Amino acid sequence: MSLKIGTFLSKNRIAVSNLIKRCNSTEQTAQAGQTHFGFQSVPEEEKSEKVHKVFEDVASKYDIMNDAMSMGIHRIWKDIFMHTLSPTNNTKLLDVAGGTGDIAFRFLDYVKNSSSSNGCHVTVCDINKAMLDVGEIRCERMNYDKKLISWQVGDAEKLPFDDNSFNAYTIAFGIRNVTHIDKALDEAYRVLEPGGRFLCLEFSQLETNLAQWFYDLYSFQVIPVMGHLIAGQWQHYQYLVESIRKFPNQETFKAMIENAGFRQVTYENLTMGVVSIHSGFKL
Amino acid sequence: MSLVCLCATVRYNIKYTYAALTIYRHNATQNTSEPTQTNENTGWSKESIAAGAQDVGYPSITHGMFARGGGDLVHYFQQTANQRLVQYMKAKVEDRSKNYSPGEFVEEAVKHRLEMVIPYISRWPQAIALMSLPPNVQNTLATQLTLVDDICYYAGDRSVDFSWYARRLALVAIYKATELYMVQDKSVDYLESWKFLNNRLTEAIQLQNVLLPTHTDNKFSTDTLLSTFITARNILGMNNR
Repeated sequence: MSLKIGTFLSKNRIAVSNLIKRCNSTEQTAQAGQTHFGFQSVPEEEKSEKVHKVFEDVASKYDIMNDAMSMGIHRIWKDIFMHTLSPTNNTKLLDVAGGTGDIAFRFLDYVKNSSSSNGCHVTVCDINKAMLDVGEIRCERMNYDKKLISWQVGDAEKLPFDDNSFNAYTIAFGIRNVTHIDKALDEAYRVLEPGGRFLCLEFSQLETNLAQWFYDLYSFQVIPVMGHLIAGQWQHYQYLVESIRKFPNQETFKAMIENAGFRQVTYENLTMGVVSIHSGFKL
Repeated sequence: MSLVCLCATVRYNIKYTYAALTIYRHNATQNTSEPTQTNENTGWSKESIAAGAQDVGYPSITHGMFARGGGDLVHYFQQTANQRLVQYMKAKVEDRSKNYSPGEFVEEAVKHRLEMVIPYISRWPQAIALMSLPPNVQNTLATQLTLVDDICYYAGDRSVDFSWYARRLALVAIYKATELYMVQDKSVDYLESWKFLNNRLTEAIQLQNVLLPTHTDNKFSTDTLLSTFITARNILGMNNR
């Protein structure tokens, strides 16, 4: 029995290391004008289309899949994320890639339960109308005050908002799907007013190798299967886990945020680095 | 005003900038000018930092820069107050018109330092509580040790033996005891507190006179004190300098 498990594990390790090799080789062969879509190399203009397709297809099952894949832990991550922001009076929040409203609703709950949070407002911006529709239906169902929330279709790389129009910018599990991360960061910097806070929740790299090994196993062997069973989409969930591996690690991403002009950039790892919260201020 | 803030932050990349200064001013003026409305005063909290940020033209959300909220605010106050005390003691040492005995000097310095707390006295118990919260303990101990070290130094203590540690530890105890006495003191101008301080210092000096000549016989207590102090400094990372 134990031998069987041993072979099973080692086979999977080979599978995972092959995937990682594939990822490295694509990196080397990637040419100008090309970007990554998971481990594939695709022309830049195609990536946003493909990402759009992924989220259009998974929109209706998005929330249930999040629960299944993270075993519910994503809710805790998002709660911690909102607690880190701790909105106070007159917080004008822009939640980018916030389609189904997870962050926006947490914001509204926080504001409702806090004594010093008058004049708060959240704008949810997502490139994908299908995701926003899910959010709006949930908003309706949960009876949130419609005056406090607005929905807007828009690209994170080209936000449809004026300069200095918000004082908080959040993006949770979204920036990884953007074609040019640096452009999205520049846009975040532009729409924030001085003193405004940039806060990003994103998958990251684990602190220890052993944990990373287990995490890889889980991501590549379990998640696509789950996607297939629950949402009927194998490929799209394969993309999701691959895109996590292609996303820069904590320190690199921190440097990117600093390059966009943010100051006081810090990050905090959650669950051993499965996700991390990056924070920065426009000063 | 925000330009000053910007320059300071960008150039030095430090937390404790102009914004923080205004924040604690905000705290002080609310406390002193409207003592009857202390309930509305938000004290050493995230809300105060948010209000302070707005005072200097930043949105309230900037409070996130101070990750420990009220704890960071108290720490900032303690640090700046210590710096002001050093200036005060320097001036006293240079002013040769009056001669203080070390005991008098220490009493004077501790009194001066505690007086800096008076504008915030109604909210000081909250600050004491915040200082003893686990995430803030390291900062608290470090500022406290720096404080007593400065006082002993300017009082003329240049000892290099065991009494160096003993004096500082004793002074921490006296300072903290007086501080606790003070937050409950209802007497005019805190006269009772200063009397309390004077009594404790007199006791300490008497104790020192009894103990010190025979301190070779008290090897055990000497070692204990010494190792306690070294351990404390190691925990705080103060030996890395």
